[in-house]
Order: sequence, then C-alpha cells, then structure tokens
Amino acid sequence: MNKAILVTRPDHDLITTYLFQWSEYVINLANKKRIKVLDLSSKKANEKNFTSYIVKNNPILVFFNGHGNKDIIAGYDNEPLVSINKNEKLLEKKIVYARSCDAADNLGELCIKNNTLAFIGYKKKYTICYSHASVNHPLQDDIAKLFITPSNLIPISLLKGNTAKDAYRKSQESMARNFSFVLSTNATSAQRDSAPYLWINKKYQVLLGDPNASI
Amino acid sequence: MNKNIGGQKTTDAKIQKDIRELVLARIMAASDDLRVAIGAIEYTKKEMIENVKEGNEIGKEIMEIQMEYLRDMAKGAIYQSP
Repeated sequence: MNKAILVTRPDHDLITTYLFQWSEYVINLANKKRIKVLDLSSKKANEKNFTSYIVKNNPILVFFNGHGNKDIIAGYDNEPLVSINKNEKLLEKKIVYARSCDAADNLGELCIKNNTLAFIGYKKKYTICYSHASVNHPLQDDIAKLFITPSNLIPISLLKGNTAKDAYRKSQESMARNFSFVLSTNATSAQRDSAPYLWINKKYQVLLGDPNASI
Repeated sequence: MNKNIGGQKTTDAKIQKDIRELVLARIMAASDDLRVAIGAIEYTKKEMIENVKEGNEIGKEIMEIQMEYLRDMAKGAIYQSP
C-alpha cells in the first residue's frame, strides 16, 4: 500500500449527503485495489484535518465532494478546505477531482499554475436533480444516479489506471448516454425534465493540466 | 434616434418577457417529483417558478440554464462527440 487517495465528503445537507453516500462506490473500489483511502467524512472534512492528511500522506488523488465557488472548495458546514492564494499549493503534484460548483474556474487554473498534475471539475454550478420520493434512500434515486454515476467515473477510472484524459472522456460519454436516455421514451417524466441540468453539467465539466497524468 | 433606442428597449423587454414565459411554461409542465439542487440550495418546482417570476439571481440562473439548453439543442450541439 504505497499509494493513497484522499476523499472529502461532508454530509451537512441533503446534497452533500447524496455525494457522501455515492462516494462509497469509489472508496470500496480503492479498498479492493488495496489503495489507502484517507476518508475525511462528515465533520472530519475540515481544513485542519485536510492539511494534516495531505502533508503526512501525500495522496496522489484528491477527490473533493462539497460545495464551492470559483475560489474555494468547502468541507463540513461549508468550511473552506482549499482557498485561492492561501493553500492551493497543497495540491501540488496531485490529480484533483472537485465535485463542487465552479471550482475549476479560478482555483483550478491556479492549481495548474502551481504544479497540480491535473484538475477535473466544473466551470459553472454543479447541479444535481433528484427525486423527492427518494430523499431517504439516495442510492436508490433513479434521477440522481443519472447525474452522480458519470461523475463517479472520474475517480473510478483513475483508480483503474486510466489517464486523466480517459477518465474525463469516460465521464463525458456516460453523461452523453444518460442524456440520450432522458430524452427517450424509456425515461420517466421527472428524468426527462432533468435534461437541461444534465446537459449543463456535461458542458461545463473540464479537464485542466496534463491529460496523461495517472495515479 | 431616441425613438430607435426606445424601440430597441421595448423589443428587448418583449424578448425577455417571452423568454420568462417560455421557461415558466417548461417548469410548470415538469414533474412534481423533480427537485433541483443548484449549488448548495435545493428547489421545488414551486420555488423555481417563484424565483423566475421574481427575476432574482436564482431565477435568472434557472432561465439561463433552460435557455442555454434550448439554444444548444437547436444548434445540434448534443450530437457532437464528447
């Protein structure tokens, strides 16, 4: 076990709870591959722990789940974990996937300037549609899965040894497939109504940095 | 000159009104089960309608998403490879 990945997954509101639960698939795969998982779950997703885990363990992949904006990625209770011009250098020589709003914009670009290997994220708000009837069972939510499964493919593909470019491509292709599905007659009306939001996620998901980076 | 500027303003206002009505119609026709989380906040269908009607920031954002989607569909962008 010489490789490590770090996952931040707060659960202080409904959407972070969805991402918290869906991140289990990524963590389970890493465990199967005997890759060390630094799991900053729930309240552990704070800046102090984040800094300490990065410095001590030097994970090759950092997978953020949480709210954000152009300048920060946040953890539990929206405490900033990484902030522009403050501590983005913690992400030096790492592959980053930020499942957060807007973070690929200023922060992602600055990370690449500061030697982050690759940064995959979103240049606009990351949007999730979900079923009101499924809020107590996020993993059984047939609308949310159309949004979260393609995004899980980024860390899953990287864990399987794919390059950042291939992980990004697989995620894009998965979103395209889901998009075609929601426009089909096989989709429920609620799934069909989620199409604009799925489209925007696909359009504004970006890969910055070295496309050939891998873990 | 002023007349033209005034005429342009009237046209822009009319277009904005038409866009708002189009987006509202699309949201009203959506499933009641659908919830949309844009960033940190979740919205019901009713809340989305209220925000669009008020023309506040989130209402504008919802309108932008819907209109960008419709424009991209019209351009055939969805058929381009990823």
